[in-house]
Amino acid sequence: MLKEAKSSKIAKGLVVLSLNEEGRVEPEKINHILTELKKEPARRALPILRKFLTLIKRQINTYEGSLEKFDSNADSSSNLISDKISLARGKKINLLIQENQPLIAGFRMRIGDDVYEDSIASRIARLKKSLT
Amino acid sequence: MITLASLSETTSGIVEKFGIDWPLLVAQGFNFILVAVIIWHFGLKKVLLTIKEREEKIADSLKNAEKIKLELESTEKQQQETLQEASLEAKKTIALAQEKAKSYIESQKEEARKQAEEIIEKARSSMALERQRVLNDAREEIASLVVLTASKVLQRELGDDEKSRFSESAAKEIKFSA
Repeated sequence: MLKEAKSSKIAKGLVVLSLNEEGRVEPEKINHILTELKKEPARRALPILRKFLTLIKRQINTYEGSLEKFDSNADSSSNLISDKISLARGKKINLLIQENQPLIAGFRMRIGDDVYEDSIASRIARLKKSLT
Repeated sequence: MITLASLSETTSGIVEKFGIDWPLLVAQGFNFILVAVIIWHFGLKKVLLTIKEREEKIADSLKNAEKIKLELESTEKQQQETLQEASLEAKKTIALAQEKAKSYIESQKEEARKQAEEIIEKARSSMALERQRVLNDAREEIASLVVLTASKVLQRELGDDEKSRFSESAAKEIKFSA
C-alpha cells in the first residue's frame, strides 16, 4: 500500500516533468524519463511506469479527442466544433477527424470520458426510444 | 254333704254303666302317650323341621325374589336412564357433527371460492402481462422498422450538401460546458 502510494507520487511528479508550458505532453521529455527509468530495477520501475502511463493518457485526453463525421474531411463545422470546445475548456483541443457513415449527418465527439453527439443517427435513436 | 254323696254315686253309676276298666284305660293311655312320643320324636319332629326349613327357604326365596325384582326394577330404571342419557348424548354428538360438517362445508366452499378468485386474478394478471408484452414487442418492432426505414431513406436520399448543412447546424447549436 505504501509502495503504491509512493509509486503514484513519483509518477505524478514525472508527469509534471513531461509537460511543456501549454500543459501538453512533450515526447522528448517522455523519452528522457523512460531512459532514466530503465536504469532502475524492474521491480521498482514497473509500478511507476504503469501509473505514469495511466496519468499520461489521462493528461493527453484533456487536450486531444476524436471527432466522428459522415466523411473524414475537415470542414467549417469541424473547425467550429473545435473552436467551441477549446473555448469551453480554456485551452486548445486537438480533434482527430474520423469517418463514421452510420451517423448519416452531424457529429460525435469524444474527449476523455466525455461524449458529445448531435447526428441523424442519434436523433433516430431518440425517436426509437420515444416510440418504445 | 248330701250333694257330694249324690255326685259320687252318679259317677260310679256312669263308670259302671259305660263298663270302664281303669287299669286298662291307664295302660291304653300310657301306650297312647308312648306311641305319640315315639311318633313325635322320630317322625313328626323331622317333618316339622323340614317344613320349617322349607318355609324359611320359601320365605328367603320370596325375599330374594322381591329383592331381585327391586334390583331388576332399579336396573331397568338405570338402564332407561342410561339409554336416555345415551340418546341425549347421541343427539348432541349428531348435532355437533352436523354443525361441524356444515362448518367444514362452508369453509371448503369459502376456500374453493378464494382459490377460484385467485385463479381468475392470476389469469387476468397473466393475460394483462401477456397483452402488455405483445404490445411492447409490437411497439419495439414498429419502432425498429421505422428507425431502419428512416435510416435507409435518409442515408440514400440525403446528399452531401444536405449532410454538411445538417452538420453545420448541429455544430452551431451545440453548447459545451466548461
